[in-house]
Amino acid sequence: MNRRRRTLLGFAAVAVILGFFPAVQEALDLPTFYVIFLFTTLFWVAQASSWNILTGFAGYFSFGQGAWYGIGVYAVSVLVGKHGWPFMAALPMAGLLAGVAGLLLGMVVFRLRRLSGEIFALTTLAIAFVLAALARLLPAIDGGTGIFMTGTPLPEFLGDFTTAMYLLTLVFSLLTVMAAYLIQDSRLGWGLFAIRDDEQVADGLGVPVFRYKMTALGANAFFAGLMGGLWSLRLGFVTVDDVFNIRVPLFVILMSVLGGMRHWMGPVVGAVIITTISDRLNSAGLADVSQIIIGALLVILALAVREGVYLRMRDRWVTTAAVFFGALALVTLFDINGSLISDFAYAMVATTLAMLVPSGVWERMRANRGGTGGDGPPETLADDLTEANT
Amino acid sequence: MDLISQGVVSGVLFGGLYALMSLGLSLSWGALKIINLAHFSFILLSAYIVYQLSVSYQIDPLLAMVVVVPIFFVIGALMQMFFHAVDVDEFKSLIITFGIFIILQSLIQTVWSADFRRIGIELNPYATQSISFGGVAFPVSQLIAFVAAVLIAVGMSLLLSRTYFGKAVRAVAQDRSMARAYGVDPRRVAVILSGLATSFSALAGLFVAVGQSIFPGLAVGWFGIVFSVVILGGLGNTLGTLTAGVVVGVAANTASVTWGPLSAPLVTFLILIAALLFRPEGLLTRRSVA
Amino acid sequence: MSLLEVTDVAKRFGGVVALDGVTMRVDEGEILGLVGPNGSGKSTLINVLSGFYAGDQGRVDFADTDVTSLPANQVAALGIARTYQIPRPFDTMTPRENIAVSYMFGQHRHSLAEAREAAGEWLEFTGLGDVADTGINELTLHQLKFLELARALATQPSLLLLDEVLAGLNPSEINQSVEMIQRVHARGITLLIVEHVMRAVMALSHRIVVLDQGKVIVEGEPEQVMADPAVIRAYLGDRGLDA
Repeated sequence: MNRRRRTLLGFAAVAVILGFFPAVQEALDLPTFYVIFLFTTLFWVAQASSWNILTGFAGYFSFGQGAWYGIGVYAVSVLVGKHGWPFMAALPMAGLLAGVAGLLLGMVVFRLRRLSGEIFALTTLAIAFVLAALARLLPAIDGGTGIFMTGTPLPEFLGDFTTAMYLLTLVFSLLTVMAAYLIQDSRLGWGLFAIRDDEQVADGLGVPVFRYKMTALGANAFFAGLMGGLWSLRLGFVTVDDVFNIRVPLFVILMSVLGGMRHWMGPVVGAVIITTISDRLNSAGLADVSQIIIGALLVILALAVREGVYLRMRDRWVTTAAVFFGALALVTLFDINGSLISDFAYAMVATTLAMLVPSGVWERMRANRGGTGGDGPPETLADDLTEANT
Repeated sequence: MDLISQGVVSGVLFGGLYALMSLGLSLSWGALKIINLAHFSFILLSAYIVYQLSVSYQIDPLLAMVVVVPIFFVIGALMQMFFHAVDVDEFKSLIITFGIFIILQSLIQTVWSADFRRIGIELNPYATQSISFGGVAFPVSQLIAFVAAVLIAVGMSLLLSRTYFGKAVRAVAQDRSMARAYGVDPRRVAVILSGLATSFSALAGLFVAVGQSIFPGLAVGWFGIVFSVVILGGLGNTLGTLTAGVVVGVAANTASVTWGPLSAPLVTFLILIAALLFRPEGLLTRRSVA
Repeated sequence: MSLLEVTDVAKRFGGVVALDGVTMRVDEGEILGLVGPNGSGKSTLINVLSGFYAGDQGRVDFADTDVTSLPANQVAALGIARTYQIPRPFDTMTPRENIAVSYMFGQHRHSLAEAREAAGEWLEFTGLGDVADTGINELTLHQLKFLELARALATQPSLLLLDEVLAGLNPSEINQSVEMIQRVHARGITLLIVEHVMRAVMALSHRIVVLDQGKVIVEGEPEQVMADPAVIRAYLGDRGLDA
């Protein structure tokens, strides 16, 4: 399959390029910060992508990303910090435990006679809070004292701490995004999309809805937990407040809505954009304001962006490339800010705005002309099917 | 014996406040089909405004009612008009109200910082006074909140069942187009209802400010309580919400007294999960036909 | 030879009895018309047969398999497909994608690749070739109904349940649809059609079953059935006979 092979090659290329970055960073004596920034971005790419498998593909809105992530963080922290497990052995357990928890939830909630989207969303929210309360309550987990993960030994071949974190994050996020891609481009993916559009009808056509929903939920929980387990190291001192707060569930929603929830690349693009902008705002000392901006972004995106920016970028790739590189060139030339990341941030903002604005105008024009408000044929998956026919 | 009865009484009184906090969301969800997460931030914002009024203008917090209720009525009305203008589905409204919640909470934190704030005792005697009855203490602030909650719940219930407006609300909630065919303007009804819902939240915020110290993180802490009360009580069911508030209040408080304060959110969320899974239409709502 | 056997199926919703002991059969290769006044339980029966509702009592056998309590997707896997009165296409997908998805599941599992090819066949069969790749919101009601049909056919059913597929169509569209239904039948698919458009039912059906208030009151050949006084009474009330 032409398309499949091309995409997998693309993954391999990304893996190689990104994989060598730490070596490049050392050779060129670039600040370590770039490595840290990259692996932070990769963390969010994985979280957003895993979330989107359930919410975007299957249409079951989940407020529970914090639950799976939290299980992952605490699984590793407890096993390593309290029971002396080696870190690399504890990592898969993080994913497994989170995955099992997700499946348990699914077994109860997906078997209900009348499960509405809101009930599911609220249940996931409740699960996250229950887990947080349990972690706080039970000394066997946390008990309010927190767990120290700093200084946990990592295998030597991974290099120093930053490099090790980077490589592991890279591997896990690649796995997660690849999973999302493989799911989308399969019977499972199409079944999920059908479930999202009309579950009853999908059921009537023979889609094994329960099994597929469980798979999506399990995948979501597993990959979220796996990355969470790894992130315990990054947190250093693991506390309930630091792990079970609104940040993870909020950001994955934001990133996926921005990037687009119908395509596996959506959360990736969204995560890159939001992480970059958020990082720049924080370093400019605007941490408080950044939270407000994030809230505002969420509202604006929910209103203005129907399919997310990724698909629009792909369809208008000429405009995208032009605006991105043009802005990048401008910012670098005028050296508005010393940091390379800031340059990219500006370029990303410019490109995102370029994607947003015309669509708003476009939709208003359509509405005025009496159109039904759709954006035309769904751009998502038509390629796969029409390619064979051209 | 005294400790238990005190726990129950406290639970009941708190339950009134919980019910008041939940009424806005419940009405909005039940009648307007919008899960308005912004309500949490409205409660918080109202609390802070009441606090600020006491600090800046020495206004008695109870009197502040006169200020916050109209303000938030208008906010609620405007919000509903906004939703009419943009025409979003349930999923988008969830995201949008979530975003508004984030914005308001961050704004509150930016303006007032994360420090604890408390209305001074000179202006807030209610916070320290307490009525003793049968060996049990009834803190005045909680008592007032409870009475207010009962009055509003009963009043709203009567409004919904006896008045023309109430019938219009129920008609719109069940079948918009039919309601329109009978001469009801669904938009106007929705706007007024939204205003009412938000003023209830504002009132709840007022009582929160009277009863305790406030800080921005409070809002997220209410999620469990409010959602369990809303689901247990039945969407749009005012008396049910009142009852559920008391149930949740007693359960949470008893848990707190027995197993420590950390167990309270656990109990509340477990109630929520049980309600969601086994009786999402609420305790007092009769199961509808198919 | 009977393909579908329905024995004493009942279904109630709270206080409302929708089906009150329905017994009937569908023979292999026939077109069975299911008619009855509004509220007689026709749609409920379709929902029970396709696995959406579990009947409260009774039994449904399809090709000698007991399907009474099977979930909808397993019923579909055995070879029963249905359409909806009000078309319910997957609205984020194009017509081609709608059919492809259907083809991938249904009675025989098919891969993504095969579905791409096969979808074209069903598009041509229902005349939707021109709109194969447009958005759902650009199709007319008639086209949506044909899409509904194509999607059901793509699951390669042995029994197809058509739920008021002619509702809302103008006379020429009805004629086209009747012709389409006949072509479907010619491919060897057994049909159960729920319809209000009498001339279509009379023209298409080999047999007719009449439901009233959740019970079968008459069944037999079309002319016979429609002349039966019980049927006239059911539709028109007691006055009808005097008119």
